[in-house]
Amino acid sequence: MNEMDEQLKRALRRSDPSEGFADRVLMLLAEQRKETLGRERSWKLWPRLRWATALAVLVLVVTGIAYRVRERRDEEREARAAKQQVMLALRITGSKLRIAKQKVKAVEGGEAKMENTL
Amino acid sequence: MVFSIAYRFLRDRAVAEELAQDVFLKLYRELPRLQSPEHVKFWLRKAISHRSMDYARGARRRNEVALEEVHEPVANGSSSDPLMEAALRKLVASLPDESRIVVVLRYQEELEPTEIAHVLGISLGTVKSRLHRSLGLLRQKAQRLIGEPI
Repeated sequence: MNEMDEQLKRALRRSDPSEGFADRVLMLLAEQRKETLGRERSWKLWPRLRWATALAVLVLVVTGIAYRVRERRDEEREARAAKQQVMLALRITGSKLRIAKQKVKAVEGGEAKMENTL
Repeated sequence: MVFSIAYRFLRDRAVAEELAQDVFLKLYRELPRLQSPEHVKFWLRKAISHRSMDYARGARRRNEVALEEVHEPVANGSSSDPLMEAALRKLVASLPDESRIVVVLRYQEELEPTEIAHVLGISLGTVKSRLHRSLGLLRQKAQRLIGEPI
């Protein structure tokens, strides 16, 4: 070590903080510890709250799905009923048309016979 | 140790105490991760060095008076002269941040260059060159100041 090193060592020797520094740090540490404990306590409550929230969401989702399924079933039932009604209407219309056609044929047949006799 | 590194680096007692406080509060949170008293010491030196350099950078951005602008005092060249010591401290304060922290860790904490490199996270070569350059600069400035070589 040369003169310069020695002088630098002396000039830069450790310096103490002001009086009460350690007490202030300890006080701040105690405050921080209190805050940490408070946060930990709220973290302990948090899982229960989380489960309750998850359950509520699950109930809502299941209810929503059930409602939607029921709505769809009702729609399908109504569609089936409507289809049956249409089929029935078509069947009735078909039989009426058949009767009308037979009547027309019968009338046409009668007229032809009359013409032949005349 | 913690306060002193910040104080010698920043030359502001109030700020050094504030930074030292922050570091101790951070230490409390880090404590479970630190494995031995030596590890704690290393962590403290590292934390306060980086915190002090960050503060100095921020202070310059906030346009505060830079440490480099502190006037060099007039002093007589006696080896145990308190005025000489004060003058040297001011000369150290005039060094760039990166060099100043190396000088503080070397002469206050009496760390070896390898330890300084470890604390600051830089290479050994960089530490050695910064030390060499800083000492040269300090010698020049001191000579200019007191009129005789140290």
